[in-house]
Amino acid sequence: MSLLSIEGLGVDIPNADGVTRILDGIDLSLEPGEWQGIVGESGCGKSMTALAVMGLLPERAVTGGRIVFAGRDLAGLDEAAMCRVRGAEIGMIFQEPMTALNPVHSIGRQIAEGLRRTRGLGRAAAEARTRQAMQRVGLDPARFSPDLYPHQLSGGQRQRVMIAMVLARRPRLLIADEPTTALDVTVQAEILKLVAEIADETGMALLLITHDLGVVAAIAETVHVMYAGRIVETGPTDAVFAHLAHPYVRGLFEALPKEVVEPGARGAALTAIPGRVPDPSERSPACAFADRCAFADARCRSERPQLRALHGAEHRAACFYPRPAPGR
Amino acid sequence: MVARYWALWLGGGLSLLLFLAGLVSLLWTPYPIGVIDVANRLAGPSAEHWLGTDPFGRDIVSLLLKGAANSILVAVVAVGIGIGIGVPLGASASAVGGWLDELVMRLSDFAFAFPALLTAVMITAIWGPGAVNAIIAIGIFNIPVFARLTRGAALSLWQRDFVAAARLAGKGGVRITTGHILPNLAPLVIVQATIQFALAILAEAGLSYLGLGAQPPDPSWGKMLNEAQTFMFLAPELAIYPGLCIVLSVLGLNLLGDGLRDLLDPKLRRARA
Amino acid sequence: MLLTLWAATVVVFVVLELLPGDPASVILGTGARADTLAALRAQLGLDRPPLERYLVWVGGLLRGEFGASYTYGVPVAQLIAERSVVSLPLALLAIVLSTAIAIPVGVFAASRRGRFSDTAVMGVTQLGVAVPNFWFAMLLILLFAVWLGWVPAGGFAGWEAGWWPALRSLLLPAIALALPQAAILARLTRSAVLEALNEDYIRTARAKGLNRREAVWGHALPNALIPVVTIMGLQFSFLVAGTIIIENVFYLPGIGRLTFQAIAQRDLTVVRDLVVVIAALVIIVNFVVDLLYLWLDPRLRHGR
Repeated sequence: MSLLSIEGLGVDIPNADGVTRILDGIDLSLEPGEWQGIVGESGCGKSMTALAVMGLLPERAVTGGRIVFAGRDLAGLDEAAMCRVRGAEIGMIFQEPMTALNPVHSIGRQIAEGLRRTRGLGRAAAEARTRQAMQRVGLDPARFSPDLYPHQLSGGQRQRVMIAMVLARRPRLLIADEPTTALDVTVQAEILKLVAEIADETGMALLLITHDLGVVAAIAETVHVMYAGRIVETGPTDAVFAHLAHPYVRGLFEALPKEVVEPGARGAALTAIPGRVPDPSERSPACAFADRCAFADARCRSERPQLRALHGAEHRAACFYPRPAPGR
Repeated sequence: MVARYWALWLGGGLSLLLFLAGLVSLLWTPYPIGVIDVANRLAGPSAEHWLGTDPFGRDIVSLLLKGAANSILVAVVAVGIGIGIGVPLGASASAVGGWLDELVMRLSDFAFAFPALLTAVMITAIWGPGAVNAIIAIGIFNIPVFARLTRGAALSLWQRDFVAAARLAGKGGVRITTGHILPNLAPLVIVQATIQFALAILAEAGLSYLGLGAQPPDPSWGKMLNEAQTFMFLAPELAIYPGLCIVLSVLGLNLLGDGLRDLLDPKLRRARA
Repeated sequence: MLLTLWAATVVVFVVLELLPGDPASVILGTGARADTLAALRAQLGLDRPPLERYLVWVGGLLRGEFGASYTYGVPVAQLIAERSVVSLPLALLAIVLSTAIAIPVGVFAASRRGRFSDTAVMGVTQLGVAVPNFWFAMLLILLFAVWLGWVPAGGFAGWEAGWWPALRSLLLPAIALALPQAAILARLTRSAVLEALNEDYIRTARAKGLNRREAVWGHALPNALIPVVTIMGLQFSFLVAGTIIIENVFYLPGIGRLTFQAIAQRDLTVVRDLVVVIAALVIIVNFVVDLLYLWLDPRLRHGR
């Protein structure tokens, strides 16, 4: 049985003019201990997916579809039960470590928070776990006391505190929403490595959300590429990135500076995808990418492509004209 | 439309009533104020006197109307002083910076820390009670409010690109201030002015209650309340009417200020959706 | 802080110097003879240059000698002490009441934002802000003293009569002082909490498994208290102002009433010293508030 199973997830947000569809039919399945990545640009809905799983969408959002975690339908849970799931079974770390910690509580307090109640730990045990977690994330107890406050730490250090907060709870699934985007480049690699190590050691499943293709390639076994609230391609990371079947995915790769992909290819022009990401209220009910796609035809503009298998049931793309596999 | 800006409508309506009452009283009141009719004192509501008479036999409706005029006068001039001196002060402080800025900030810190009513009481008591001194006292305390507001808002405006553009075009500090900074501050100042107006009415009422505001025979809501207190056991309703007038006026102005703020501040408007 | 205190003394002195008229004539009356007036002036030290008088006065203040009131004929210090016994408990009661009501109400309204209870709270506080505290006092008197007869309509029973009768006479005044302040404070608390609720750390807290109540009270409120405490410092000076009026409404023999009477009677000595004492109090309270910040906001402790 899969650990997390998202089926047909849709999220609508009412606004002044009606309803905006933020997520449109998301399907995703995660096994215990598996590492998956969700990739997409700003506004594609990847963070919303994570928040939907956690039940932390804005109150006025309307959710459709099912989210099943460890056999339980999360939509059917009342708030108290959902609170027990959050933190204890699903942990989440966020993008902005600078603002994600409460400035008036010490870091030790924030790491240990709730541990006593939810896990029934005594005070000494909670403190021990806090120190343990801090040590494991690289905050050496000689330099970093649990009585420190967030403003006394750097961005990378704060993100480590966030990881420690999750680690102390030992959830079964960790959702990491752009954990390194706001950090300096040198620190990014360290944090990613830390996340991977911890997931490995604890056997946590990992859902990594990012816009950085390199990060996904390095960490995720399976990748889902999102565009305009939908998953447009999904499958084993190596296969997807080698094949580049969906025009959008291909466009993403071609937009990377060439030196990254082909060392020595200096001076090659940057290839941008023409047009811009549609505003959620402007999305087409047919293929959302059609008006930016060089290969789109009338069918793309009138009919919505569903995810269909390419070669192998695992690798699917939502396109009527996916590129044939290279080397065939 | 009405529902969205209900504060504006209700507040505007009440404020308008206030101003109309004051204006009307300048031209006409049901009964003249100066006339005392002791035989008729403390009468209840009747056809001749819609709300009855006060301890001196004067018609309450007339007193309330003239009281409105008094409150408006004091508030308008006091807030006018505050704006007239405070805004240029704050604008200059933000433009010149340095010592002027420090000075203005220190002075307004001091003024804020010090109990306004206490100083107002001192000023009016020492220089003599009366509407004029009440105006001055209240006006003095409006100056730091507007100075601070102007300075704060102006400082952030100075950073903006359109100011840099004006500088490049060769405009001097004064012209930039009058032509660019002040017009952009106008909405903020207007909103604050309505709020200060409400506060001024409250302050004037307080001073009049203590006997330091408008002097007889000019009526004032605060003074009416003071007189009513002596007769609370006999005619409790005397205390209700002036107080109600104060509350409605202040409420109206506050709502108007809130409504204006929502209207004039687009950022806030988007956040509400 | 000391600088402000000193500035206060200068301001008070200067303002009182501008007093038109002659204190001696006020005391002795307009029919007094010229030489009596001169003698009194000499006795009061009014014939000496302003600077000298100022220094003598400040010197006296620092030594705790406040001079004597010429209206009451007793040392000012004694007057102040007697009246404080009324005003201080009153002020404390008002502060406690207003805070104890306002902060929970504000938090409650913020946590129920947009719903009926929030609108109701906003409506009531909007009204509360518009009500002059002396009018509210009169309404309270009408209701509780005149109509229901539960408490006296005015006057102070004196602590000698036992602490409950004395407290009873302070109850209505304290409520009259506290509620309008509470309205302002509640609105402020609500908006401060709403702002705090928008911050990222609330989302982090929820993601850890905290429920809404814990997030609001444990995370949002401690942050919201910072701006709220600022206003409470300012509110103290409004409290002082309110005391002057309220003590007049209820005929309480407190500092506020003393101030008013002294000013009306042109009792300069009392006025000068009282005003300085009050100013000092306000300044000290603001200083305490600054200290409170350090406790509330760890970021300030480490000099960032």
